[in-house]
Amino acid sequence: MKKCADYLQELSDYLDGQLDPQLCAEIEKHVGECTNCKLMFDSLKMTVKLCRESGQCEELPAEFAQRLNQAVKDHWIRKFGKA
Amino acid sequence: MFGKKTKSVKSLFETEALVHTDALYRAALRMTKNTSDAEDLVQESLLKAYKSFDRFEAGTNAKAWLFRIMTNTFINTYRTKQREATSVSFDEVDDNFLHSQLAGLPTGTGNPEKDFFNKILDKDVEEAIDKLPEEFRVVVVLAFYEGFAYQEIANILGIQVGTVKSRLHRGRKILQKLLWEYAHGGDGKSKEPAES
Repeated sequence: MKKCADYLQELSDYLDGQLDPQLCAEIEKHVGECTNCKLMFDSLKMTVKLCRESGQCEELPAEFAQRLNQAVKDHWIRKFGKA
Repeated sequence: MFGKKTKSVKSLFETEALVHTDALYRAALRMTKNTSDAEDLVQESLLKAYKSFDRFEAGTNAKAWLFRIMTNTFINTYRTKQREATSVSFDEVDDNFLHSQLAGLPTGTGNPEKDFFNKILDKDVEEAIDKLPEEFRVVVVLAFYEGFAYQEIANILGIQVGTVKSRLHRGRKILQKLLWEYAHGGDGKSKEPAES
């Protein structure tokens, strides 16, 4: 008989779609019946969601973008000469 | 005057590589943990990419190619430069940590998993990622920020797919624990996890 700890070991692989369908169904059944494992499962999913969202609004600072463009342009001119 | 060929190389570089600068910068910020090194890392990586652009095969995955250049640059240059003074070990992170915490919560009230996370800010998540040991942090950033698949990450970092999987598994568990502690005003924010 599997315990909660056995299912918890599999949650990451489950979330990444790395488990076979039979084991997935077993996990889903257990998570549906066990409040604490459901919370673990949901919180793990939420952790990934928060990580995915946290960096998405980060844009290149305007001043750095300008410097970067200039650096590429300078490099271009050194390689091919001025247009 | 630029020739037709050089013009097309320039325009190819712009459409294949420069479109990924925001993504490179996002990842560089988490890798280096500061804006100044992140800017230097992105610039150095893009110039390296530019120099070797003739070796890039059009039609292949330019983003993965750029990330390979950037992670190599980070590992070879910036990692040495900023090698963490104290190596933090998360070996003690227990799969059952949160489970045992949750077991102590009253049941049938509200929506605990939402309560758990609604106090978390982007800044907290970034801090938590920054606390990950480097080998986990880089894999987490490539997977969660950029959505690279296991195999792509393995190719970018030159490691086995199994290593990617296990680092991602550990990284996710550590982040879950740190965010739990942040949400509950616990140790995650007030002190570093135990040293090895």
